[in-house]
Amino acid sequence: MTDYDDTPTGKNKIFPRNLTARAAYQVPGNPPSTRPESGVENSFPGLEFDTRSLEACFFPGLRVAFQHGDGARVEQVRRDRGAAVPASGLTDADRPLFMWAVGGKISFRANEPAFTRFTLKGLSGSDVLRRVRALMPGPVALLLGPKPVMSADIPDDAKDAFKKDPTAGPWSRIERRGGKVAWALLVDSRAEHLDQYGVIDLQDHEPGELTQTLCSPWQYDFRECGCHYWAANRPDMVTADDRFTYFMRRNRARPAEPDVPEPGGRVSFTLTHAQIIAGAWNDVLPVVLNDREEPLAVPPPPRRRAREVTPAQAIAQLEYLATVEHALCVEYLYAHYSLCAPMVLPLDPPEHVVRIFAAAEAVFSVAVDEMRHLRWANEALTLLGAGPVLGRAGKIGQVQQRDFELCPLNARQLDWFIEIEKPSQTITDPEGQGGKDPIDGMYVVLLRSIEEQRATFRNADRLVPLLKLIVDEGMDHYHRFLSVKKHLEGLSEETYLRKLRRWDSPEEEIAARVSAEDIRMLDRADDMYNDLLAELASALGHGDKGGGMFLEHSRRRMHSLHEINHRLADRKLGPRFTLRPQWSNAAE
Amino acid sequence: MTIASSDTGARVHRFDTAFGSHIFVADGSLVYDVPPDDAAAVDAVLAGAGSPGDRRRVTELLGQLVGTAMPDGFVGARPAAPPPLRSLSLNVAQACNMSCGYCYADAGAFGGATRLMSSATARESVDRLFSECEPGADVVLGFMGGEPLLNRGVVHEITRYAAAAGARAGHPVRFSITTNGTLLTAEDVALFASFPFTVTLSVDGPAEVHRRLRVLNNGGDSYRTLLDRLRLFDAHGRPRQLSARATVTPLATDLETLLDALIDLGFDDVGVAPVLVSPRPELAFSEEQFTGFLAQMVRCGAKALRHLGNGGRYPFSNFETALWEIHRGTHRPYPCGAGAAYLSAGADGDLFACHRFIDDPKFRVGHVRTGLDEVWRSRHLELRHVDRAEPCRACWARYLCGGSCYHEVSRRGRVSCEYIRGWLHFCLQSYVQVIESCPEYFHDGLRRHADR
Repeated sequence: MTDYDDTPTGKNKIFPRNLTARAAYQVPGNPPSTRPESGVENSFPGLEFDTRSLEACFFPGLRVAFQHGDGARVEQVRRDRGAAVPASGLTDADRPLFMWAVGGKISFRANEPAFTRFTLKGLSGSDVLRRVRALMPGPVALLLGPKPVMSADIPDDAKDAFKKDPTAGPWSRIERRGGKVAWALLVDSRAEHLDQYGVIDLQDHEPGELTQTLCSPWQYDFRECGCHYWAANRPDMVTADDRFTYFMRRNRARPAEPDVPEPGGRVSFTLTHAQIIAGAWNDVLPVVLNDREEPLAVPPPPRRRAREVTPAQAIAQLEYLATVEHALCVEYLYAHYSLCAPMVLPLDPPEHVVRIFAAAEAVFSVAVDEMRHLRWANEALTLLGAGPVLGRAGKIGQVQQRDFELCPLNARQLDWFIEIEKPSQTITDPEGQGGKDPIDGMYVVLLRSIEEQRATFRNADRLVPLLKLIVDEGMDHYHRFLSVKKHLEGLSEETYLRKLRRWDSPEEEIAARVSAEDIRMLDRADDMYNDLLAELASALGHGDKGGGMFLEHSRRRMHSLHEINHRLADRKLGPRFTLRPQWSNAAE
Repeated sequence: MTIASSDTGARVHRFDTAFGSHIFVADGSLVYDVPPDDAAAVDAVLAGAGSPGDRRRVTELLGQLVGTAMPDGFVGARPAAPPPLRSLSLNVAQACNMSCGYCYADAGAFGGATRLMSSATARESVDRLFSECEPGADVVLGFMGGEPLLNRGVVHEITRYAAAAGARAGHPVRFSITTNGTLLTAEDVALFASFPFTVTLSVDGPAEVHRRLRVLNNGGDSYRTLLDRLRLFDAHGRPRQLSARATVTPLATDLETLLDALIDLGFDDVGVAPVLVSPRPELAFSEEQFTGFLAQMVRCGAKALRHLGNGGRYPFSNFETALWEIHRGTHRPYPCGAGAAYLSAGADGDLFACHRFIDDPKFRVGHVRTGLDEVWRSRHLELRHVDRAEPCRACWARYLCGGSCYHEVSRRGRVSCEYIRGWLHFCLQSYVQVIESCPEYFHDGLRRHADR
């Protein structure tokens, strides 16, 4: 490596000029997360870098500590930095020295004073830091004294000196009495922290210094966290017994006391650190679901040996489940289009439109999940050596045996969606419901069978996480449909439903005098639906060799289908979702 | 491993300015200041006269500059996969009311019968664009020709159709139109002002230059007609961007005067395009003629630089675009999006790689009704990767240039390489001067260039 001449102008340095060069060039020194122009800062003690470490050198020649409760104090005197400190004669031997007052420019607005002075009496180190952070680049005046400013009386001559015009600096004045510093007034330019290349000046800060005092939330006791930035999910306010209350309250009596915050915070009635560590976290604090305390512990169901299926049975079940995912997806999509919601929420919409839109988005999101489950069920079939199945079940649910139906999202249909997605409780019951499982139960049985018979199932290592994904996602659908119910609460079906027209055959469409343009659009939607299935079949056929390209095409087709179905719905036409014969299978 | 001279020539380019010695690293389009000793080592290696110590020094230097940030390089040898469509131009009129001497489009007909695009085909084209673009993406719809305003009705109708359909489907649409301006009406100008249009007027220079080759079929004064129509923008509103594009032939001997005249007409920016493909060979630049053209371009660029230094602006778009591309470090293995994210629809709905390839069967990419030929697109991107092209693969400017316009290369081969390198060398020097002396240019221009 060449030794470059370290001239201040940077003439002999490698210097990146344009944006890609700046991105590519590794700048020695503190990591990018400590660059102030992009850094996220707060004061307890910081998310990307600790401002206390940065501002420790705000006054050239001094290192100041801001973490003490009795104010800010000088930790080190550096006679090689700045101009005022070296000229003043101050050394480390003159410590302890505490900040008594500071002044500088705090705003560049024309009508603001050129120089603002802060007396720091009664302020903790953190509060002093706030004043220091307010100081703009330019002349800064600093008054130091031998005692903490909390308990010190600032001598009158120091006060008078501090009031003087600080311009035409740098300069210093040290008053000594009995050989010790009585007070010291220093004026110099505020440190800019960055060098000419816009990075932290290494003369003031060692690499790593700015991050060495950051907190580690995943290790720290969150009770004491002052900034409330907490990586773990810990509730603050919850509902219990239908009232708003503080989750960490010490008084766990029921009915719960309503929350009444005190001026100093809630510390006096919060569980103590000792109580939490001793076990309150496990034994006292309840589970919170949807912001509500659940007082009763729900023990896990007794683990019994699950029914096991053979690979052939697994294939048969997955083939059926694939057709059910397809059928549910289409039912959910139709329900989504039946809601009187725009594809994109307009600016400043009325409240009922917002609610209907939220309901429509929730239904659509479940439909998208089912499409994904169709793909995953088929990927599982491929892993088991079976072919893809893109048919659509004529009857949904081995237990419910309900006919597949394109139906608007009226109350009855929504209840059906909630029922079909309800998590089952009986999956480990060998009797089941006449030996049949609900849909999610079927996946759980499959999952357990493969987990416990890994040697029997080919590609068991890939099958298990795939099925687990389906099970985990499915549990959320029930709650999403419950939220749909909540969104539509209080609205009439006339308000939130479109009156979609649909006919069972082309002859009926003609008889109903559906316009040629509408029929063309309905045909186009059917083409897109079946093209989408063809793309999906292609994607599944290529498997890992497709590089994701076919799936990407499928996604684009899906989006086009979605757009055209919305256009149909705008015209009060229900998409037909006609399934062409090549996709039919025995499950129908 | 140390660097051989031919490798180095493909990887880096050296240039100097008043601010020092610099290096341009092709992969990533990185611009650095380097110490004089390193610059001398690079020069020696490029000249084939480098000692082993020089070659080691250059290896170390390049390792330090690029580091380990991009182990496979910024560009990489892998061809791009066909991206979602982002931009579509509609050849709404394969016909023209002018017969410009250099026109590659056979007065708009592209060698075939003159025809206009029907409203139905135009709608299908827009629908195709929406169905092929990425969900939520903003798209660009262009109107081309021939002279697109010969089919004014479709331009107006489709602008409204696309804007409304795009708003419903979550696809913001921007529009562009390239026109000779002689048929502009108040309604056209109002349309361009009401929707987010970039309007490019084809104008070749001051009156005598413009009239020489831009001939109205009705025998009228093409320059006077254009000036009259330009006034409509003052009366009925300017579009988001009003640009002039001057087609330059070897007959043009004073580019600076040409640019000044067009800038004085009040365009937001003025760009020049040298003719490489023309039905009249004397109107196309030969390799030798590019030397003089480069000198003129540099003269105009220097003028723009002086204006920038004085806090002003000389909207010479060839120069400004180059400055921005260098500032951003644009690096790409293709010259443009033709055949990739950009396609052009002919009047009958056939899709082609770009507006210059209308009705060329070798560059047909499908039809708006039936969709894109993805096999063609994949093959196109595989074959046209600039690292596969000769002599591009050994050229330091390849990721800024991209290998030259496909149309020009298919008809003439690569005859302008020296010109392009010379121009980029000048622009690199200019870039350092601008970033050093008036860096705020790049902050102020951010909004204007944000979409590019």
